[in-house]
Amino acid sequence: MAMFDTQKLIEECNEIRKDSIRMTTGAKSGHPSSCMSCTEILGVLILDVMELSPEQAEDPNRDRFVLSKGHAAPAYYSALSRKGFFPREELFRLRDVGAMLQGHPDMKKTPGVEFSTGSLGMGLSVANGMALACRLDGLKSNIFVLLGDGELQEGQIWEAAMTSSHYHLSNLVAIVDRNMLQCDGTTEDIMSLEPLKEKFESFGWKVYELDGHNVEQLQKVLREARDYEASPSIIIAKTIKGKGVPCMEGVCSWHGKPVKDNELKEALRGCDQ
Amino acid sequence: MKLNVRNYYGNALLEIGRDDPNVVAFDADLSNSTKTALFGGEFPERFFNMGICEQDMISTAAGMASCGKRPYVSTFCVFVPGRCFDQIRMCIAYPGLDVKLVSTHGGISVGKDGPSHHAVEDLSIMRTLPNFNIFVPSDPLATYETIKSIHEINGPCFVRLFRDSVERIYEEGSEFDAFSSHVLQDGEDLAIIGHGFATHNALEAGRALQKEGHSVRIIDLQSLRPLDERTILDAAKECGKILTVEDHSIYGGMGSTITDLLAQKRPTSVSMLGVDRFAESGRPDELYEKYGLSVNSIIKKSKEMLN
Repeated sequence: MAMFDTQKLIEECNEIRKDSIRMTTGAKSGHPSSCMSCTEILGVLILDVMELSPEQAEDPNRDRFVLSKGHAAPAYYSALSRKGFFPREELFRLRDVGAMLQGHPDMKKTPGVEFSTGSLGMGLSVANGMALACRLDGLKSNIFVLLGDGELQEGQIWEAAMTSSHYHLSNLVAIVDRNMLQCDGTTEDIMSLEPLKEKFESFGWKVYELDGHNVEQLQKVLREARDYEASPSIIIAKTIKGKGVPCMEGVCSWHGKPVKDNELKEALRGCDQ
Repeated sequence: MKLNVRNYYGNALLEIGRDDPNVVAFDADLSNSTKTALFGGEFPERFFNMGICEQDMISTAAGMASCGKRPYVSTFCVFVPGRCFDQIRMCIAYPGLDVKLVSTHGGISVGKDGPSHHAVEDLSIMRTLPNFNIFVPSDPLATYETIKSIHEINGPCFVRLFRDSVERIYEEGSEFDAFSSHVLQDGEDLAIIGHGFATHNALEAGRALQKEGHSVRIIDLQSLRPLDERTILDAAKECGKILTVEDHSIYGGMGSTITDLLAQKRPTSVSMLGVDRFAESGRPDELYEKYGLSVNSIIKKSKEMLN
């Protein structure tokens, strides 16, 4: 598949970022800053790298994605809507009673969502299951899973990291949104994760590192990792929580807090600068 | 002759696996005890030993189910659901995925391994989860037919098995409805409801009482969900008194399921025999005597209720 034009993709990703802010402000709840750190990762995956479209929704050979950090749902929904999975109007009914878009992804309610998430630490296991099933059926599908860095503290992640490696799941690519922050502070203060690269290497993974806001790098490295065949791959994407809005960038207290109505214009302007 | 119900699970799984190439099996390093090893021996490519990683096992199986595979997941009852409630809730129950959890070694009848291995909370836990069907078979045929029957369901099921061998209750080759309860003896003055391993003592006690001239109905509550309400309500109406016998906590288990129903539809006098504390190591029969699930305990309680 031809690569998406990088400049256009950068603009699309910025629209996803702004949607996440608008959606959570509209819902008066949600996690915009957690969306803003993984906007480019989601945009490049869903709009460019993955073999995925509404027309392929039932195609067993489609690529599959699991948003393990389910609280970044708004950015995910925006990307899916841009890909044509559902009308854009749905984005602004996020978290409403009777709406299609739940606070965290629901595979039964939302077209394009491959698995329900929201309780942290489970997505890598789920993705392993998908990778095993696709391999068993001889499908050429690639499985992608986006992990938050905070959720790497869950023990299940390391159980799953053993499983991916033990079963040689080279059709699996994990991406860590390494924004360094969790609810109560920095990951290194709360429960340190470093040296993260070495941890995954010692578990038998191929590890890539990149700037998670650099669309061109993401386009290149996600493809490299997808095509790597000797082991499962993980991309540690260095990101900034709240990226795009200066007053939110790298500020822990913005976790799970939407931008207020009267600050919305300024926040959106920040994203465009 | 006493038979191990787990072998009947293992063989039923093997047969299902031969007929349906989408069947996969998972275990967490206990496949020789749960008998999933039988499936693993014949279908190594469809058998996944996940090591001692029960939480990972649940979510991995769910991921497979989302791609059209039909996983059977086994370990001891104390770990599934005990160790994995959130994974079961989030990855199986909430999306309603077709994952079958078949947990063995339920109850204090596990015996000498002691309270760390006595699962007596699993049914209370599983009952809280929407979308799950729950089965507690009591003998070889019930176990075999349960596994065969749940394969017809495209959705979450929990099956609770036990460790010790038992005599047959249902004749080999006879027809068996896995989705309803079964009246093993008719009677009009008291209904004793058992399930799983405890059914055997309930039945023996009921027969002894009958011989002494009491009219006692014995029911094997094979399926906790769907609940065969008709049989329970009939028993309440016709017998007027109900005694429940379960190798499980009385807090939220089978007895509670019965009282939940009767409180709403036909208030009836109910007594519960079950576990209300951590037990201890010991032979199953010794533990049943001490913790009130023996034939003698059931007879004694029944007589109190009959008088």
